[in-house]
Order: sequence, then C-alpha cells, then structure tokens
Amino acid sequence: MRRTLIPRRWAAPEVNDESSAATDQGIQRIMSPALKIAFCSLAVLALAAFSACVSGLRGAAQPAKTPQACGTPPGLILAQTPRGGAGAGDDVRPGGRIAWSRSSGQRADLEVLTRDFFAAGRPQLSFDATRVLFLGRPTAADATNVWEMDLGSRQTRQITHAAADCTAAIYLSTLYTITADAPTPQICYCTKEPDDVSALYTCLPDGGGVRRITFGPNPASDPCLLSDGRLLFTSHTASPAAGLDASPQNTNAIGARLFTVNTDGTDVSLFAEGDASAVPGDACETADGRVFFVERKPPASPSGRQASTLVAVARTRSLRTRQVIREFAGPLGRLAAQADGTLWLSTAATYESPGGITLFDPASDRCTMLYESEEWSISAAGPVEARPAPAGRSSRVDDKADYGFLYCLDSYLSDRPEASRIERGQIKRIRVFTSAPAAQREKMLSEFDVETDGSFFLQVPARTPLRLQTIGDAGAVLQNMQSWLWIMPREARGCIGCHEDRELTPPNRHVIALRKPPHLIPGADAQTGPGKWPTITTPIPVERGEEQ
Amino acid sequence: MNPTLRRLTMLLSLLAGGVAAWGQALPLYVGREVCLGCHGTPAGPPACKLEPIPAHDRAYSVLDSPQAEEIAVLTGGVGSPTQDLVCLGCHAAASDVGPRWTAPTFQIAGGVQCESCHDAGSLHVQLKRRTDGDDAYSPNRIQRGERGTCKRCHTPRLSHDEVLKRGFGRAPADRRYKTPTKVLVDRDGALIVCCEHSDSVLFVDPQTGSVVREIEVGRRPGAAALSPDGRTLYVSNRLSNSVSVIDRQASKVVAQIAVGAEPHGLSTDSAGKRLFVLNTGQDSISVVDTAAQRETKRLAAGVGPWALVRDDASQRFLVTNVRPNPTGFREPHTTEISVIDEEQAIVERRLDAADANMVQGIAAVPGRRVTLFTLMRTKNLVPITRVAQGWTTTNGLGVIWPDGTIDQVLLDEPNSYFADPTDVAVSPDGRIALVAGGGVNEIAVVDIEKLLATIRDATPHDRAEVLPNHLGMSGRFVVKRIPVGANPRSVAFSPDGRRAYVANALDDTLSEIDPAKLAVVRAIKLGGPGEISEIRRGERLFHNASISFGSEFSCRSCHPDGHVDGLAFDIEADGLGMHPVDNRSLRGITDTGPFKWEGTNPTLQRQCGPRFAVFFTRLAPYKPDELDALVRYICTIERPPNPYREAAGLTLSQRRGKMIFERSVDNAGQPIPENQRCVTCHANAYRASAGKAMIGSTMWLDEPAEIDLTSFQHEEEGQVGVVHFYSERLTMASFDIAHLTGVQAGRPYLHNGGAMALEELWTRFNAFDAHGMTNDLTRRQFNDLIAYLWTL
Repeated sequence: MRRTLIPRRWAAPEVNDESSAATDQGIQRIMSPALKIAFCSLAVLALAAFSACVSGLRGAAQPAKTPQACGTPPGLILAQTPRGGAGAGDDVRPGGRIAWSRSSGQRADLEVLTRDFFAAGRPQLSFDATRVLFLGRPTAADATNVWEMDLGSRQTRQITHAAADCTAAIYLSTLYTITADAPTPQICYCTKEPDDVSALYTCLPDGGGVRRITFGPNPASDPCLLSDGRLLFTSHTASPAAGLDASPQNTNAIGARLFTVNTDGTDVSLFAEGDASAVPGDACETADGRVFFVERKPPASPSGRQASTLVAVARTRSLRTRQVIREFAGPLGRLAAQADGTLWLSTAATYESPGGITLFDPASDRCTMLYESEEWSISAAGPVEARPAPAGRSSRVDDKADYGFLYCLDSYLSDRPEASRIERGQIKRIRVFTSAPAAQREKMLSEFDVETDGSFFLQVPARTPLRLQTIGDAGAVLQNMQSWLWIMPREARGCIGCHEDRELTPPNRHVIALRKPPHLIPGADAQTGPGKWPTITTPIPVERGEEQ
Repeated sequence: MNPTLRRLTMLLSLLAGGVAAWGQALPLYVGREVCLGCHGTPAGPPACKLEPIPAHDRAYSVLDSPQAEEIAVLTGGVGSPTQDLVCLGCHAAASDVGPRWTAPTFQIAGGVQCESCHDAGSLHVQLKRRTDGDDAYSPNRIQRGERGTCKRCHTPRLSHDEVLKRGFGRAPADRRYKTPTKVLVDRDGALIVCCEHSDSVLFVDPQTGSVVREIEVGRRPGAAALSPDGRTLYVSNRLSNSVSVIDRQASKVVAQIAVGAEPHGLSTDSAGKRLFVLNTGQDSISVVDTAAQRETKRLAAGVGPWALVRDDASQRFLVTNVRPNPTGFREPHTTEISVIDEEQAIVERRLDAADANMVQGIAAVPGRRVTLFTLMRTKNLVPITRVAQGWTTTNGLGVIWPDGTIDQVLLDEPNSYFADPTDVAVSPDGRIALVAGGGVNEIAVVDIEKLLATIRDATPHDRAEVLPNHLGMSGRFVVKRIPVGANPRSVAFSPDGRRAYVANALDDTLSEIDPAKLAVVRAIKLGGPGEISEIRRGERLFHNASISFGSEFSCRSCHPDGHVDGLAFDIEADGLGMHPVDNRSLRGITDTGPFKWEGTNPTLQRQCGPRFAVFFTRLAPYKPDELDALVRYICTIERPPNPYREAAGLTLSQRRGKMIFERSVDNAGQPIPENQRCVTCHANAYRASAGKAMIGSTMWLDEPAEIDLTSFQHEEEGQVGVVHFYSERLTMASFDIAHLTGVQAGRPYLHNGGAMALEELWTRFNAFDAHGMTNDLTRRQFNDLIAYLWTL
C-alpha cells in the first residue's frame, strides 16, 4: 500500500490517486490566500527590480520565461524524506521524493513529481523556473545520479551516469572557451571516483563534456552558484583527530570551510571560515549580496542532536563580515533565498518537532511557518519563480594541456604572524609538495631558488594538489602553506604573496621571476612513479590554512 | 597671353617662392592642366599609360555626398569629408601638403590627378627644362607611378563596404543625442550642462527641471567655467580647439578664442582676468587674457591635462593629467599633478601620483586645505591573468595635502569595483564628496572626515603600501553607492549644498541627489531621443564595466575617449611577464586592420569578441548583436583635428620632413632599398599598409627562447636588447605595420611601448636601419621628419 504523501493531521481526500497528487490544506492554513498573494507579489516585484539592476547595460535583457508564461502555475518545490533525519549529506534517502505544490488557488495540492523513483531529493529550479534538477535513484540498486524534469511535460531525463552516488547538483550559468562556438550552459554536481575524495564536476546539460573542477585532497561538497558567477563550495579539511578522513560523513572531520572557484576550476580561493568545530554548507545568496549558510555542529553524543547556526557574510567581503544570524537547536535542511531577502528554511521532523518549511526574515529576525509535517522531513524547499542567471564566464583552460602556471609576486608579503619575523633576503628557496588522494600522504616535487625580490614563477602539473614552503638558510622552513591549491590546464594563477591579506591588490611591479622562463615542476609520477608516496621527513602540521 | 607661356610664368614665380633653406626648391603641385600641357600633346613626352579614368575625375566631388559623410563617420572623421585628410588621401592629390604647396594652377577639385601617383610636378618640370634629363636617383625625381601606387587606395575598405554595399547610415537618433558631460551650478542654483553630441550648452531651471535655453557652441564641448561675477560662461570645445565665450545676459556666444588641441578643463583666476585652459590633446595649458580674448601664454602640463581646481589658500591651481609621464621600459608609472602659480601664470611644481593613471576629476575640500582627485591604478606590469583581487586595475581617490604630499585610497570593494571614477565634487560644508563612477553607473559617497582619519591614523608604511592597494579600506569612508543613470561623468553641488547633480552622459539625463537622504530624488531629462540606436548601444557597452568580472574595468578604462592610457600591458596569451604590448588608439581604426600587434585579428569583431572575453574580462563574451553594436561604435570614435597642421598646409620644416619620409635616396645619394623607405610600408591614406614588417625592434622580453634571460639584470633594461638581437642575428619578430594617423598623440611607441618618444624610434631602436634608413639623417632632418609625422 502506498504511503500517504501528506501530513496526516492535515490529510484531505486525495484528488487524483493515479497521479499521486494530494491536497495539502496545511499549506493553505499557514499561508492564507491574502498572505500568499502579498508574499508572491513582493517577491516578483523585488525579483524584477533585481533583474533589471543585474542586467544593467548588457543590452535589453531577455525576460526570463516564467512558469506562467509557459503555462505552468507558480508554487513551491520541496523535497521530502521520511521522518528520521534529513540534513546535509542525507538528501536522497529511500522514499525521498520531490513534490510540487501549486498553492495559488483555494485548494493547495501537492503533486509528487518523482513517483517513479526509489529515492529522489535535492531539487533545484532552473533560472527560468521551467525545469528541475534533482538527484534520483530509480531503483534501490542504482547509484544516485543527476536528473532533470521539465515542469511542463513532467518528462525526466538522466544527465549524469556516475558510478558513485552524486550528492549535489546545481545549474550553472554559461561557460565559454576560445575554441567554442558559443557559451554553453553548465551543470555542476558532486560525486567521487574510486579511491578518491568527493569532488565537484561540471558537464553540459546533456551530460557530456564532464570536467572535474576541484582537486584538493580534501572532499568538496555543497556547491552554490553566486550571483557573480563563482561557485561556492564546502571543503572538508582533514584533521589528525579524524584520522585524516575528511569525508562529510565523518563527524569528527572538523574544520570545513567555504571556498570559491570559477566554474572552470580556476582561481580557487578561501571564501569564509568561522566556527572551527562546525561544517559550513548549504549556502544561498540573497538579492542584497549577502550569502547565508548553515554551520552544522556534530552532536555532542551519539544520541545528541545536530545543532545548526545560520550565518551570513557579504559576498564582496566574505572574510571580514561574518555574522551569526540565528542558532537552531535542530538540524536545518537546505536554504533557499527569496528575491526579497527572506529565506526558506527546511527542517527535519524529529521526535520533538515536525519537519517543515519556515520563512525567515533576517531583517526582522522573524520566522513564519509555511508548512509543517510530522510525517515527513523537508530537506529542501524553494519557490517556483524565475531568477536572474548569474553572469556567464569565459575560460582560458585548455583541457588538452597537462600543465599550468603559478607565480608569486613577493613571497615576503604575508599576514601570518610568523612572516613578520622574516627579513628581506632570508627566503632562499621554495619547495613544492603534492598530495596523494585523501590527503594521507604527501611528497616534495621540487625545490628551487626564489628571486631576490621574493618572486617566483613555476610551470606546474595541472589538476594536482600543491602546497609550498619557503626555505631559508640551511634548509630551515620559514613558512608552511598549510592547505592546498591546484592549477587547471593552462591556468596562470598569480599570487601576491604567501598568505597575504586577501583584500590586498598586487603592487604594479615587473618582478624578476617573470623576466625568466618558469621553473619546471615535475608531476608526482615523474619523480617516484605511481604508487610511491614516501612520507616526508618533516611532518607538516595540518592546521586551518588558506587554500584547500 | 599664350596659355603655355602663362603656365610657365606661373610656375617660375611659384618655384621662386618655394626655395627652401636647403638651397633647393621644394616641389609644388601644379595640377593636371600643367602636366597635360606637355604630356597631352602629340609632340610632347609620353603621356600616362593609363586611359583617362572618369572615376578619378569625380573622386573629389563624390566626397560631397551623404554617403561620403557616412563613410567619414565610420572612419572617425569629425568634419566634412572634403576637409578630412584620410578621405582626401585617396580622393584628391596634394591633400596632405595643403594649399601652401600647390600652384594656382592646381585644383583640388580635380580629384585624383597625375600628381596623385607621380607626386609634385614642379621640380620635374624644372629639371626637364634645365637638364633635359631625369636623374634617376635625384631626390627630386618624379615618381614613376608604379602599380603598387594604385594599391595604396584601391584596397578593400570596410568603411566603404558598410555604406556602399550594406547601406549603413546613422540612425536619426544619432544626430539628436545630447550626451551631457559636464554639469555646473551657478551661484543662483541654475544648472549649466555641456552636451558633447549636440555641440551645445543647456541651461536648466532647477525648480522645474526643464531646459530653458540651449546655445550652440563649438564641436564637442567638454567643460565649462564661469567668470567670478557669473556673467560670462567659458566653454571648451574639444574638437574645435577653441573656447566659446557666452554672454549669459545676452544668451549668446560673443567670441571664440583659439587655444591648443582638445581643450577640456578650464577656469578663470580669482580676478577673472585670466583663463587657464587645459589642452588635453597637446599636453599644455593655454593662458588666455579674458579681456583681449586671446591666448597669451602656453604652459607645459603633464600628459593629457584634464581638470583643475583652485586652492584659495595658496592661490594655486592644481591640474590633473590623464596619462602617466614617460618612465623607463617596464617601470612603474607616475602621473603628474601640475601646480600653477595663479599670479605668475607659471607651472610652479609638478607632483607625482605614484602608480596612478587616469587622474581626472579634482575638487578642493572647503576649510581643510585638502584636495581630492579621482584616479585609477592600472596593473600594467602584472600579467593580466586574473580579474579578481584588483589584479587588473583598481579605482580610487587621491588626497593632496597642503605640503604637496599625496595619499591614495581605493573606492573599490573586493569583487565589486568602482570602475572609471571620472569626477569628484565636495559639498560646500566639506563633509562629503561625491565621486562619479562612469563604469558602474553609481555615485560613491565619501565621508571626508573618515577618509582623512583613515589616512592620518595609518603608519607611513601603510600609507605608502597598504592604503593605495587595499580593497577593504573603502568600507571605512564610502558610506553609500547611489545608483544613477548611464555613464555618470560629472557631478556638482548646488551652492547651498542641498542638492547635487550628476550628468549621465549616455542617457541624456541629470540625476538630482538629496545629500541629506543620499538618494536620487529626481531624474531630469535633457531632451535627447528616447530610443537607443545601435551606435549608442555600443557606446554604452564600451563605457560599462559590467563586461568584466566584478565590474573591474570597462573598455574605456584603457581607452579613455577611445584613445589610449599610455601603458603597455602583459597579456596572458603570449607568455607571462613576456611580450608586453603597447595599448593602441581606437580613433579612426575601421580601415586599419588587421588588428593586434601580431596582426592576427582580421576584424574588430574578432578583436573585441572571444579573445577579449577569455583573456581580459573573464565573463561571457558579448552576444553577437552586442558585439556588432560595440564595433559600430568603435568605428565612429572620432579623430580629433591635428593641432600641428596649419590651414595653409605644411610648414617648411614639415614639408622637408615629408620629403624625407618619401625619399628614395640617402644623404650620400645612394639609393635606399625599397623596404627601407618609410613610404613603402606607411603608404596609404592612414600611412600604413596591411601586413607585418620586421623592423628590428625585438627586445628583451620579446623572444625568451632565443636568449638566456637568467642573466638578464634589471639595470640592463635601458639597453632593451635591440642591438643584441640584431647583431647576434637572432630570430626577429614581425609586427603589424602601425598606422600613423594621430601618431603625435599616441606615445609610447613600438609594439611594446619601449620608445617613449618618436625620436627614440631612430635614436635608440634603429641602429641597423631595419626600421627604415635613418642613420644618415642629420639632427635637423630628424626634426623635420618628426615635424611632418606630427601632422598626420
């Protein structure tokens, strides 16, 4: 017998059992028609204003096709999972499903969109609100992959065919390369390859053109597209206490931070860090340029509850504007931003409280319950409304190449305390390390002289985790880069200094290193061969660093 | 009198007048009739092998047509095609020498004539009569008029194809835009607006927001200043090289005062007796006697003087300059703030704004003896590999203290830049400054006390190294960014400080700001057409920084007024740190393809499309219709009139220079190989030709594979390696043959900006005569050659 699809206490006669559609008076009860009309009107107005602002002078912006324009009514899309714990990394539990509520009339109805799936979750609406990207498992034997549904026809199609489970998928804006005919839309998803960590990938809407874009030894998760076209994601930093297992499932894997990366994998940069004991994720950006995300603390005991903190930063000054917005005693699901700056918070059903959707206004700190269910946890929810597509990006990356460039203008520039003790002239050499997958081992790739002005210029293996050390006289380690970066093929990554202030711009100087050919840094395999990963003699303390 | 005798008499009298200081006669153009006097008779010498070509006869007259006008627009012409040197270069003979060097028998209306191919005929006639021979290597030899000569003009011209084949014509709206670039508020609160496109000044009633009067002035009015009594308005006309004097009571222009090239900022002294006019196209400052209404003195400014403000306490004017002063090859630049002693009308001091460029707007802070100016800090020495963290350019404010010390701060935020700050105004109470962000369509509100406190509280190290480079500092003193109209270029406060007005150049409006609310309270329409033409759309795209990640820069950031910023850049595509390339002007470039120094981009669409997105803006490239609009606008970027050309034509020195430019024998009388003659490559109406040439300019940083740069030392940059490359017979690179129109305003020179002045092309970079045979030239000949080149 099929489980009922709606909260029991608001259960109403199903209007179409064949289509698994059901009426959910609960939504209606919480959101009165007047409130809904006002709410939607405000959202549409704010969206229109934001859209006009963003489109600016790039010519007359093409109006996004709204669901109304396509003949589909507005409403909300939500992901439901059976009661018992929704949260990060737990989006596609058996029985999980995606539903669409067209709550615009007198009777709200809830239509399950993924009734043919064993499990489905983590929906994301396309920019024009005509399609939904989601994670789905047709049967219990299938891996979780990325699917897309046309909201008009309800037709679904499989986009990815990954062997391992995908854990997230979002729409990206367009990407353009010099060899392409035109910019192409992209999709980002998160999965992992055998013997490797979870990483972000991009592909075309048809699933082709797969490209991995994160290469740190630590797992990446929770991608979110910012309005400026950068991709925000969580990097789970391994710690000795976690046995260097930084997987999202390892609750001891502390120290995760948010990074940004361009959609072609270039320019990975720290975005925000905060509570060292929490894992940030599930970010979303509001129209006023604030980025909200959830920091989840692992339960203090096996029987304890995961606490959640809602945090906001300004997108433009994310490292300096961290603000704790609200503490939540229980686990929070995904966030969704309204055009008016309000947030949709999804919560899990627990023994103490029902799952539901809460409309949260950060300005007034007011929460309004939109929907609640004692039977279902809500892992994600968002309004069915068009939103502006972030700016597309152009890429220099050439997938045919196996190298990139890394240069530093002045290795003496640093905001780390230990750097203040380094006098000009002390840095003699630079060491380059790489890491095996999962950050369990690392080895030195090369060591070379630094220029007298502190600059250096390297040709490095692409798609490879890299970490540097500055070396003084007699081989003394002066500075350790305590995190990882990677260079994409043909990317030319410039650094101003070694862990310099992230808001400092480069000095306009033609440094000595750039008057010479780059030092060639061999790949790991070129040195010791595959599989040989000697542990370095000087252990590198794994701390909270700068890059992933 | 017998016609032949009359011709001969006329010639002899002209030749007598054309005797030059070299002891030689300089040639005059005599006109078709004189040529045919001999060559057109059965008994005379052989006539031209070509049959008469009717189109050649009509070549001049067709310039007086609507189609020719549209073609001229697409080549950046600013006047009638019949007066435009580029047009005349193919459509008439003797155009570049001017009437001073033509005989009365010469009629420019004759179009393409004998002398178009064979050059000036007077000496030919003289030689023939004197020696009855033609010295094959004489410097005065008549040119043979070879087939290659035809190709100088008979080559595909995009401008012509667009009009004649594809029917391009400007939209009616293109003739009606206002384009307000300067707003003033008089002491009664009335608004005065200079409108660049309509060549007029508008007077706006601040109460009703309506235009009450429009007065036509010269071409492209860019700035205005009131006399101390407010009765006279002076308007600088950028393309007329003049200042219009408007009697406000009579509401009419009462005088036009000739000044230097491209006048922009101007101001009277405190007594109203002198007017200081900044000639941004000529790096000079005209001092005008307002009573006599004539220029009495000219001062040397920095490069591209733009705006000025009077410091009442010191009775000095502070002058901004757009482009940096020349520095060493790949050395950091500095831009000059010129200090003028008002009483003596002299440049008393030259302050350096280190690492700054595009220094434009300037305003004094009442009661504080502090002056603010807008600036950019372009990172031209750093490879353009990122558009984040201010990697390509930053935008900010400079502060000049009473002792001349200059501090700089940024108005940018991380990944939210304040591109193209163009003007600054300070409230009468000295509390806030409003800065126009031309590229982001915003006004930044700066709390001046907080700004000054930020600077005062910083250590000397931080003032020098951190404040000018830190994107986070703006949060301390920029209290708000106010969205305004398209491309704000000028901002001014009302005398009572209750209102401020912003001139939005590209939507023909003023934004009225309430400084108390820090918000726009009204948009004042100035009367331009509501529609947006393709060219206008392209102009907006050109000036809008949303094309780059974080709005870090616009096209205009490096091409102010479609020209150059005077910097050479390190672009990623050709190697990091290597192959610096000089920025090139966009003025009149339609027919000068291929583009890029490597000459690899056949069209502007290619130049501005994918490559620009991938290597510069890092955002999605322009959509096809956007790209077409942008290119259309770029094709219309105007070529200002050349200040070094007299209406009568070339001076004697310039005429001699032209002969050197076209010479085929050296000073020893030896023939110059064709590929070492200036005119071989710089051949057509633009003094260019399609293709590339190896001119021996390969330097350090151009060809890293050929030399061991590990021994390359900083102090050796002065040698730049040209001699090394040539003498060692290392591989030399070929570069696009640069067109020479407007070359006087285009420094630095060469593909990498290595030559800071034209002279250096030959004195530093042409040791082996690879860039034309010049090592035999005397100092005076160099001067003549340069004098001629400056007229192009």
